[in-house]
Amino acid sequence: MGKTLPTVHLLVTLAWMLLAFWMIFLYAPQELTMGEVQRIFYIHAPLGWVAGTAYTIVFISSVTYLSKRSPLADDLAHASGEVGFIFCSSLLFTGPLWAKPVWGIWWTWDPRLTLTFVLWLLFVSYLMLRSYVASPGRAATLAAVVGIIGYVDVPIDYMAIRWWRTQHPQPVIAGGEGSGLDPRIFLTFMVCVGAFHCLFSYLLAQRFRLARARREVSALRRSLAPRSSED
Amino acid sequence: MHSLKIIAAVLTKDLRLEWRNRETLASVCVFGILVVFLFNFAFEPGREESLRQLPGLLWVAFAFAGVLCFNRSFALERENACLEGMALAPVDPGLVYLGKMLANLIFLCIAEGVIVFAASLWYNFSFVPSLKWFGLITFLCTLGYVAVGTTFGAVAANLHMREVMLPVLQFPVALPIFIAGIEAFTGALKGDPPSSYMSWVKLAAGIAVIFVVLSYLLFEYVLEE
Amino acid sequence: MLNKYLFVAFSALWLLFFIYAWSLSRRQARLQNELEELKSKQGVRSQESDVANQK
Repeated sequence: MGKTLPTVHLLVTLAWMLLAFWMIFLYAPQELTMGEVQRIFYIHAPLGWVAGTAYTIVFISSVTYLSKRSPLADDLAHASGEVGFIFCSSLLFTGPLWAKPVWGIWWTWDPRLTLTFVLWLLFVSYLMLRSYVASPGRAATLAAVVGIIGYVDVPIDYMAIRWWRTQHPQPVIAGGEGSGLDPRIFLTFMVCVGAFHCLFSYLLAQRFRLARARREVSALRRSLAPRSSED
Repeated sequence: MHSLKIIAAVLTKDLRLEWRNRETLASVCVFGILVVFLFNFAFEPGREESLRQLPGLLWVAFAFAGVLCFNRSFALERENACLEGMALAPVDPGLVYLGKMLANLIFLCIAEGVIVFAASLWYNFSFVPSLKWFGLITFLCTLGYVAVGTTFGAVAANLHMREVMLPVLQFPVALPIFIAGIEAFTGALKGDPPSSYMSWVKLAAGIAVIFVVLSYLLFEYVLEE
Repeated sequence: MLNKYLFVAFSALWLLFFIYAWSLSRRQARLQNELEELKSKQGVRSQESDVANQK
């Protein structure tokens, strides 16, 4: 019974992805200046949106956990942190693969990339904290605090990094995301954003199930642990 | 006021402890000076070059000195089960946070003074012309850094990997403070009119306020068992 | 025709997601097994206590 929903979810995800792929390669026009490699944009930019969504879920779940102490909120925060980390890492490696043929360099410290790297560090530190705290209760609380402070920090980082970049302007790089105003490009992009969010929600649901199962196992283990005296 | 008494109690406890053995201050100052010393080999300084690198160098030294300071601040508490004591005490945990934060602020400011002094000797620059602004920028940025560092120091105190985890947790969050500090220092050192780097000073002040308030609210969760 | 960076980006991405999804299902399977084991132990223990109560 509990198998049908995940299967449906997976099928919807795959179907949406197939649609997205079709649009990326066969529907969207080729971009003028960058050529074929521009199509990486259709996976790279949506990954960024998903990473942002993931961290927002971490933030909201963390606040919920601290105020309501709900284990569901904690599990959701952890799940979103882990899946978000996967998406953010993907963002970090698809970026240079697009940058090298287009800009000639693998990396540059422009505001967006710098902020992406900071976001990745925030995910990494969140997950490291979770794995290094011995007791699950402490891990949940401390991770929630870290998640909240990190999330508040993101807009501050963005401001500071942008101002910093205006002080130290870089050579102008040609091209850019979504440089075409062609409606086909926009439509393809939005379909991809939806497809990756669908994939994210599927992986999130699976990871969340895993967290719940782990909790159940721990609870059972505790109840079966030999008791010192029964009578 | 009752709250002020509690903050003062925590603050004077840390200051008194430090006065007795001066471990934290000594190690933080020495470490900071060592960082400045190493930079001498990293970059070949001509006068113009070194002045340009100086703000960044100083803030890197401050950043690492801070890590040492925050780690030690809670290491002592851990050793004598004082963390549990603080958690059990019938006081607002936020006030405990403010006390510890102020202690760290004092220690780090002293260490930064020593570091800047050493750097000014070795790099032959003088910060005295713009001392007022220099001091204000340093104070505001350090306040923001200490606000965040004290919280994360308390978080990291729970982990056995605390020496590694503290910088990992803290640097992404403290980054805007470092940027503001470096940019404002650059302006002040060059002798630019304060209006040119005032936005950085305001950013630093804003960040300090946000992080102090946020940490004050969240500290009870960090301390609880 | 297919740009090599484009190819690497797409394939690496799918490889990463596939590996992650697979790792999730493996962890889930292991937990399910442990859950079954613990539940059967719990079943045995409640049977034993029933028997003990009857006596």
